[in-house]
Amino acid sequence: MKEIKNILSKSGSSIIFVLFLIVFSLAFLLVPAQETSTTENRPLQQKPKVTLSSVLEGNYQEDMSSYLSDQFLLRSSLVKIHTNLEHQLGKSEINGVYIGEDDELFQESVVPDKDMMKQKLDTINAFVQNQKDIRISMILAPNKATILEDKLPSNIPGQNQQRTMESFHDGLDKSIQYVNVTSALSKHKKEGLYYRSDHHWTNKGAYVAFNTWKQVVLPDEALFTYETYCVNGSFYGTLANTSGYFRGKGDCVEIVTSKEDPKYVVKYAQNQTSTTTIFDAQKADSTNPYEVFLSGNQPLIDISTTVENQRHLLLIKDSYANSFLSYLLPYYNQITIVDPRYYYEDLSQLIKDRSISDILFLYNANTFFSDTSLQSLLKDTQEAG
Amino acid sequence: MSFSSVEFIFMFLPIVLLLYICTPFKYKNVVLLISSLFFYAWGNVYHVCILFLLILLNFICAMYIEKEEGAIRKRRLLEAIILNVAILVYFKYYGFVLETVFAWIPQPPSYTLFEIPLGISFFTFSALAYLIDVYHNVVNAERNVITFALFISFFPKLIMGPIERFDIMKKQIEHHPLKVELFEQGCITFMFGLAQKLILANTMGSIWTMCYSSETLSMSTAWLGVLAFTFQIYFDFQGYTQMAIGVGKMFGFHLSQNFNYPYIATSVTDFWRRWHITLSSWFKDYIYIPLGGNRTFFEKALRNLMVVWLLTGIWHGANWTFILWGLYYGIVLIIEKYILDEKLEKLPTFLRWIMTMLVVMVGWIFFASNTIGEAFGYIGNLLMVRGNGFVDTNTITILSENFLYFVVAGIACSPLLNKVYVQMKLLLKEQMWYMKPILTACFFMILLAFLISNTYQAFLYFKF
Repeated sequence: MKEIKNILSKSGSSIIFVLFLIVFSLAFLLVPAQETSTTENRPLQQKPKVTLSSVLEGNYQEDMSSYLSDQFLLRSSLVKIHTNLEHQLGKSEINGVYIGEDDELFQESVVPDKDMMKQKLDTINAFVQNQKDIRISMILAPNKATILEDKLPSNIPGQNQQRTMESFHDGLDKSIQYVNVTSALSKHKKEGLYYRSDHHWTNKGAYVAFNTWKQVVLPDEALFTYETYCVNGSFYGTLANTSGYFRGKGDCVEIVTSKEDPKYVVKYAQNQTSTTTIFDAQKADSTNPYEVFLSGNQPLIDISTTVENQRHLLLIKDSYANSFLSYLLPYYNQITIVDPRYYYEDLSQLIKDRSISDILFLYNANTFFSDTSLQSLLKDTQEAG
Repeated sequence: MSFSSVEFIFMFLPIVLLLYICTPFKYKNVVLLISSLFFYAWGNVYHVCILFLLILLNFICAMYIEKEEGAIRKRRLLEAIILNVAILVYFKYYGFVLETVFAWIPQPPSYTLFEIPLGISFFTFSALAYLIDVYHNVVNAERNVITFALFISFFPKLIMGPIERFDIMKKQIEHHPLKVELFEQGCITFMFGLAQKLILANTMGSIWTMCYSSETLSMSTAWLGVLAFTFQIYFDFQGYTQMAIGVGKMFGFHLSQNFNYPYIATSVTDFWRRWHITLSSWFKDYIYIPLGGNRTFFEKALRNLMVVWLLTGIWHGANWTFILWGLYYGIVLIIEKYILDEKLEKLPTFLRWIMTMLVVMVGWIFFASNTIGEAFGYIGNLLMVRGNGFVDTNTITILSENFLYFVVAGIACSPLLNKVYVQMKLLLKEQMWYMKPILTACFFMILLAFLISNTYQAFLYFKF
């Protein structure tokens, strides 16, 4: 025993060092390579092939380096250890995600530059001029950092988007019914309006916004009662994955239905399929449970309901609208959903073909202020029509 | 290949250690040489040719110098020096020279830049020192090509030094037995170097990058930025050197220390005795003293100082900022040596330390900037003459996010940590047998966490 103690005293560090070297390098040979990283949402580098040209150009070496990092044993645990460690050491921002009180995660607020803002306003206003007989409304949803400001880490300034949104509203054509949902959301901010670890709002947040919007756009329509079902109770969303911060309880992804829901058919243009539900049950247990709503993002979806009116809504949106849709179903005979990030056809033709009577723009502030696909789509529409 | 990469620590190092241990004694140096060439080729295969060229060139030239006497001996030396310097200038300063010359021509021809061979400034200087030593009979020209090749290309010191002298390295190359205590020290030194690079240098680097690229920089944020860079460059370089020394120890080598707590210096002269020691001794022994040093009349001594510092600046990089940085130190040292000399000694130590650090920190701004204009722009923010205010929200954010890092960095610049480490080792002698393995394992896990998280890349989630 004394000899062992002696050896450990003298060479304890070398032994551990060499052990680590052996274990982690052998892991590359013994542990099968992983294909994708669920947390990083990307494919992982596989072992590169040795060819003369790839070695001479340095590509082999680069790929080998990526391969060794991507396939490193305990990679995701090490990332979590790093995030937790940095958080303990005082950091409240990791990879663009802010870690606030009660493990609340926030996305960094986007501040658009003046040119971007002007371009956006110009294209939207011009588009609206050409659609005079259609009723157009808009919801710009604030992100969590604006509503749950009190939970933000105290040393991070400038995350409140209200001023940006107000200045956008000021430049917007007055024929658009711009519905300000911020104060309603603030009033209900303790009711779980946003996922803790994801950048989306929950169906509760969508409902508060919906009610506010309905009072402006459909004030005379009836209200309905809803039931919620938790389809995934351990949801760790985009913010947890980006930052590597997996502490705190998982979120619950809920779907919303109503006994008074109309019957409807959903047609997905991308893969030419039809279903009778807006929910994709298979996605509930997948790596991104949020895709339970409409199977995630699609370029074009057409929904026909049994509602007896002549209203046909065109919903131009980002992913925030996916959970909002449940509340819209009972009010329209047809709903066409377009996501400008994936839809490249002629929008004005679509509007004519489908006899659109109402348009709703539904975006979250961060995506709205950083994405340019809406401008592109509307500008193409100008040039075509 | 970078020391702080997965491919070095978990691919290259285990394989080389294994091969080295399994090889019979006679061929151990061959293993090291081949490993070193592979190490260099990993960065760029074509550059190995330049390394080969330099090794062969100097190997042969040294023997030619030794054969001759008198004037011919001197000429051989000059020819060899010119060849080496020509190679260095061509590969390192080609782009810089063309850029400077073409700035005066209305329609300059286009040219393609090629990658500068890594470490070329370091190993060329090693070679030049060797040639001059052979000329002065300090060493004999080496007859064993393996020994000489290993002297130039030994992978721990190949890319970032320390710049070793042949007489010291030759003894080690011929006799570097594997010792258990030395290997143990090597592992510990390597891990501390890795920690300095991954934890301190990288964090400080992010802060500096943010400050440097910021449009509106308040005075406090600007100072935080300089402080961050001051820490970054030290821990980057010292971290790498410690890793080099650590790996050297694993193979039985004692590489030279390049730093001696430079940021506790109380004069600029003192600073340069503590910073990049092997480079300043090189310049002292091979340029300053041959020119006459300060044992000559006043004007010549000044000229000698300025020549050395101009060359030091040029050595550091192909940019006017480095040249200005070198001249800056030349002037400061002249002032310190000849004008302020006795007056400085009367000041309290603390004040002298602050003054020295201010000089060093301002100097780093030139070192870190891309152009001289940007450097002066940044200095403008330091003095609050650009109307950006005394403090802004960034100051508070940076400080609160990184407070602990700044504190640890500050302490790590002084011998305090080392003293504590040595004391703890003595106090905990009885508990060493389990403390060492446990602490090493925890430390290594933390290092790996930092190493791997650098490569973590969540794909544009927020678009979805």
